[in-house]
This record gives sequence, structure tokens and C-alpha cells, in this order.
Amino acid sequence: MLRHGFLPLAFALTSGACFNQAPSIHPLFVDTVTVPVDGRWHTEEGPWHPDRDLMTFERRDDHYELDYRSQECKQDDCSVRFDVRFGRLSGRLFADFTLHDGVPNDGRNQIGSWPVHAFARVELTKDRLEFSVLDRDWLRGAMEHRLLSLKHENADGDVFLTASTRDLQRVLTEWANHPDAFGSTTTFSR
Amino acid sequence: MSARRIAVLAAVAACLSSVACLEETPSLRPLFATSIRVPEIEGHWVTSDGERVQFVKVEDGYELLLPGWELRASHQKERATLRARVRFGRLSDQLLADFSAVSPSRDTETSSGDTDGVSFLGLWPVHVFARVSASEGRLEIARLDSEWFLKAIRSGQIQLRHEVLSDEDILVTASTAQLQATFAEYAYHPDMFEEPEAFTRTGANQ
Repeated sequence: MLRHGFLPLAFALTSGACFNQAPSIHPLFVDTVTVPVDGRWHTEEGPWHPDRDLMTFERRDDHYELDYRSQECKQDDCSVRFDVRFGRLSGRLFADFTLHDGVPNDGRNQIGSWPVHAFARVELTKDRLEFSVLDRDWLRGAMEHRLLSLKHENADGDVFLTASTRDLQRVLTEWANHPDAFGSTTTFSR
Repeated sequence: MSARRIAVLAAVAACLSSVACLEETPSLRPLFATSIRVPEIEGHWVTSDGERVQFVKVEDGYELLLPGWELRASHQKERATLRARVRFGRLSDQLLADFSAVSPSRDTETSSGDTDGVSFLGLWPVHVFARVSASEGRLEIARLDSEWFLKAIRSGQIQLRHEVLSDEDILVTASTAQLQATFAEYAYHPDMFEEPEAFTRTGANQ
């Protein structure tokens, strides 16, 4: 049941059914560039999430592991872990998110679910980290108006990207700086 | 073998029953857009190992409840039962089932305390299929043999549109009509489905 403690960024980034994020079956990046993101970050308290959400990045071999949890969460089985890969397109930093090992943190299997990738444009300074997700409505409109061509499926009215990593990079390189392509910005502080 | 596949298999190994482990060779689209009524399947069932499942009639089909799989919502003390949406249909006179995740939006509308949505993060609802036989006191669920199905698709024996994810994973993207044509043709194929998991009728509290 959705209540105050849900994870707004995680939803924004990874739930194709929420917050205008178009899911992709293929990754945007298959490895990561090094960025100074290691360590702990937190959201600001606000009316939609009165508790802070905490985010910890830790570098692994070809990706960063992200542990995302609410301030109340003290055990690992109430956090969500993602594999995050950063890369630069058109001089801008982007991130690819997918569930760590394709399963929720408690190892439980989901009936009839499949892990997908979600993308965000990233602004990173020493003490500030912002994610802006690829806007599903903008993407759908751009494809309908043939502004861009990207392989996809329409499933229950949702756009489900099936384009290859190379094609994803090609399109995001082209649209990296478009003001409407990325939205739902979530800000974190050190 | 990919890390993701290993993790999934580890999760599968921990599954309460094979019914809970139907995620391989998934389809983006459903085998059935609506469900027929199967009165004989409604209620509580148990395997010889004591694993329990329950089918509950809902507006657009059935819900499969797995009482052994109680989940803790991440920011609450509540626990709730893992469940899936099931739609039944008949093809070539065989009863087939389409299993899918209960969507988050649906959860919020009808939830009796189920997950807080975290379970769906980064997970997209897909469909997995099984052949079902149900009588008054016995239920059999035979999972699609994903290994055979994958080989049949890759060899061209079965022609269904799909996306290749890795050497071991595909996502079927064929339409519902194409899926139905294939399952109607192969409904009696001896390799299409695995050995069935058998359940017997039980009471709610037995």
C-alpha cells in the first residue's frame, strides 16, 4: 500500500507505470564511467515525503551499486538495491538504473515480472545530485510525430523500449539537451 | 550464466512451489485478454509437500494467492500475501492459464495491505503460461517448458516475434492472436509443458 514512506526517486526512475518513465529492455550503458558519486546522499524533507530518503552509492567492477531506503529503514530487507551505470552523451552525464541482479533486495521472486532499465539525465556537483528521468509522454509524442525513431512496443498503452543499446545512445545523444525530454527532477544532498 | 539468471534461479529455488516460479521465457503480451470462469479451480489447494495456493475469483479473472509467501512492506510492520493475476482460456480444448503480476495501480485500488510498490520497482509486468487441469478434488498445473520453448523459437520451429536479451533469455513480443495460434497448435505437444505439479483440495485452515 502506498503511503508516505515510498521511494519517490526509485519510482520515478524505475517504475514504468509511474512518473512518466519509459522502461527499456536493454541498457543505455553496459559499463560505467567513474564519477564522484560514492557515499551517502539524502532527499530533503517535504510534504510528499516527510521522511528523508537515503541513497548510498558504492563502486563495483563495471557499475555502481545503489542502496535506496527511507530514513526509517534499518534493515537490508526494506531497502532497494540498484545497479547504476553512468555515461556521457553530448557532454552530459546520464545514468542507467536496473534492479540489482534483477530481483528485489530480499531475494523474493516476482510472479510475472521482468527487470527493466530506466534512464535519467544527471547533474552532479560536490554536494548536490539531480536526476531527471526520460519523460514517457514526451518520448511517445516524439515517436508519434516521427521526430525520432526508436524501436519499441506498445503494451497496454505504455511505450516499452526494445531498441538496442547503440540506438538508445544514438537517440539520447541527439536529444540530450532538449528541455522537454527529461523531467521529474529529484534532488539529493550530501 | 548471467548474474541475473543466477539470482533468479536462486530465488526460484527458494520458491514455495513451482507455481510461484513462472517467470522464464516471458511474454510482453497476454495469452488471454479476458478470462473464462473456472468454478472448479476456486478455493484452497495443497501439494503433497504441504505447499498451499488459493485461487480467488475477481472481476477480470482470478487472483492466485500464495499464503506461504508473506511480504513485509518496507516501511510498515504489515505483512501481506504474494499474489498474481491469472486469466484462463481454452485453446484446442485445453485449459491454459496466463499468469501476470498484479500491477501497482491495481494494488493501490484494491489492496488489503499488500506491497508498498517497492516490489515492482524496476520490474515490468509480463505474462507466463501454463496448462491446467482441474476437477473437483484435483488440480494440475504444468508450466511451459521454457528450455524447449526457447529452443523451438530460436530454431524457427515456433515462429513468434521476440527480443533476444542474452544467450539464455528472450522476451516474446508477439501479439495475443499470434500467441493463441501457437498455443492452439502446440497444446498437445509432448514437450511443450513440463510435468504437472499436482494439488489436492483443502480447506482454508487445514
